[in-house]
Amino acid sequence: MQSTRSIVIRRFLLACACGLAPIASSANDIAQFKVAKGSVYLERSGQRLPARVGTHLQATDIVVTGADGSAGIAFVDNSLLSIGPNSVLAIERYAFNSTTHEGAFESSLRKGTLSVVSGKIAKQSPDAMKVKTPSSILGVRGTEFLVHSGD
Amino acid sequence: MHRHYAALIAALVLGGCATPSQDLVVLLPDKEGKVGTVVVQGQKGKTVLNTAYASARTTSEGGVQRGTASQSEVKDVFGSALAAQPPRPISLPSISRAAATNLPSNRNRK
Repeated sequence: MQSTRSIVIRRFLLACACGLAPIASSANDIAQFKVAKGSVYLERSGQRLPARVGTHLQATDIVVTGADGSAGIAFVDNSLLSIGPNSVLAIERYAFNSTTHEGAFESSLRKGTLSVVSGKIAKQSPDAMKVKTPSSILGVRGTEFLVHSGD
Repeated sequence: MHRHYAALIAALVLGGCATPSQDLVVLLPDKEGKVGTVVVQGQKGKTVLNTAYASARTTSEGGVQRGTASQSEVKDVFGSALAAQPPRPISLPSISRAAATNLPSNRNRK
């Protein structure tokens, strides 16, 4: 009897664990780190979190790399962004409809280096993807490009 | 002596404020050699990049200068960012309608 009860409790705990597991990745996730070398951080709601391969990004997150850091991020629309050392990249707006491929993608390179391979959003809707820097705004029409902002 | 330091610090701060950060934008060809378009809008001008390795630099006056970047410059400035690019998603080759109708499963339906 005792053993049956313990089995039931174990199964219940296992079911709870399985149910909780998906919380690690939520519906708000828009991208995932595929590369994270050296110091790479994520600023979310005023908190600074370490970023690793597999860490998910949400709209309005800010990615920061240190002097030895670099990071590569794959977005759900297949846009690929990567940043070099001493960079600050803020995701300002991200929306993507996986059925129509329509959306909006606005990011801001506050400093550092950025490599962009645009994805389905820029392919479907010209001018839907924009990259800002402190001194310019880039309108993207389906392409690959590099941006350096700073001294 | 303190006055000299104060003047120097003020000059550096004001100088820093007067000079906006300068950007470099370089357009790259994709894996198939195709080139898209990037419109670079500065504070006092804009330029359209639509050829491989076309570049735009923002000037301290807010303008945008068009040019061409060398591959060595790209490697020097953007080497770390390029090295961190995630692998590209694998896209299966699309099957044309004609090819699809010749699939064994579809042939039997005729």
